[in-house]
Amino acid sequence: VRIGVVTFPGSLDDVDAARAVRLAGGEVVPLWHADAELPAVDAVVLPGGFSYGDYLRAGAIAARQPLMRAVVDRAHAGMPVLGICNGFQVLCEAGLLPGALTRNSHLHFRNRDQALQVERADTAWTSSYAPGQTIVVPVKNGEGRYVGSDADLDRLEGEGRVVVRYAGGNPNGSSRDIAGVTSADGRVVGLMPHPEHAVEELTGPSVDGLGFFTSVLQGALSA
Amino acid sequence: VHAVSAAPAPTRLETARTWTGTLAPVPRVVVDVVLKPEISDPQGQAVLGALGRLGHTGVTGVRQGKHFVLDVEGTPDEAELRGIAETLLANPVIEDVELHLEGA
Repeated sequence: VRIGVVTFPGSLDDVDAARAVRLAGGEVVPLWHADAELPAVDAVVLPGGFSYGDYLRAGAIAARQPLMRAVVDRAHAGMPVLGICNGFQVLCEAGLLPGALTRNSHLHFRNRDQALQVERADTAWTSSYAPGQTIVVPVKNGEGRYVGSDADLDRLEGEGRVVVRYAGGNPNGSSRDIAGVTSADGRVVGLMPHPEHAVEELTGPSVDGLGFFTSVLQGALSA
Repeated sequence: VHAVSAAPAPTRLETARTWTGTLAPVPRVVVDVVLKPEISDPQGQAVLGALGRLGHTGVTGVRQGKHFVLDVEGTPDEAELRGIAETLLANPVIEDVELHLEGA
């Protein structure tokens, strides 16, 4: 199973994301933001970091790069896409996911191990988990406060599109403790916390994050 | 009480930058972007807090935004500029945008 990992100028976690894909048993296809063509891949991961230095708005410029147009087209055709942290910001800016990520309410960069409750265990990226399962993965962001109008958030909740919610404390003031959301078809998922940093006992607080990557591999194999 | 100083007169360079070689004014478009009222603005609140600590208790609210100045060649196409403002310069999910055409 071939998983593309995109590198933008300013991406930081592309190497860790690629490592997580390999540990889960996938083949990594490195992708460059300026390429117009998206090669044959079964899914794409948009990693964390500070693409384009967060200029304009976090993820705004990356979302409008040539490769992202191809990613958006393929996502509309059902290809799974995972956006982690800056990747989540890119997905919101690209219009693949609703809402927006804004400056943390307390204005501090927050870096800690974070408990999350998995609310949707049937998306392309979370099928390895059990509904309601609590996982612990690192969170690290300065602009991770998920916002939207009350009407939009009500609709999102009504459609069951909150994938993971912060448990045991909200690190950034996100509306309704939302840590990650999914597209209507459950194929595109974005979250601020970092599952790719929790895939090995040696370096992570747990190996709870590996499930995101095994989920998409199992989905691709059974498709 | 702090004295309010007058804005300095524009230098020759600043004045010159608004003109092309043919001395025709370059149309300039100003785009102001602010967070929608219902989106909280912790940066503006931090500025408000600082103003309070400096004794400026008369200021009761601060909203921080972005200000873009676009120099445009030829006659500005307002529809195109509005598109630029609404699809790139601002994120309509969280921000309101205002266009001001100058020198057009």
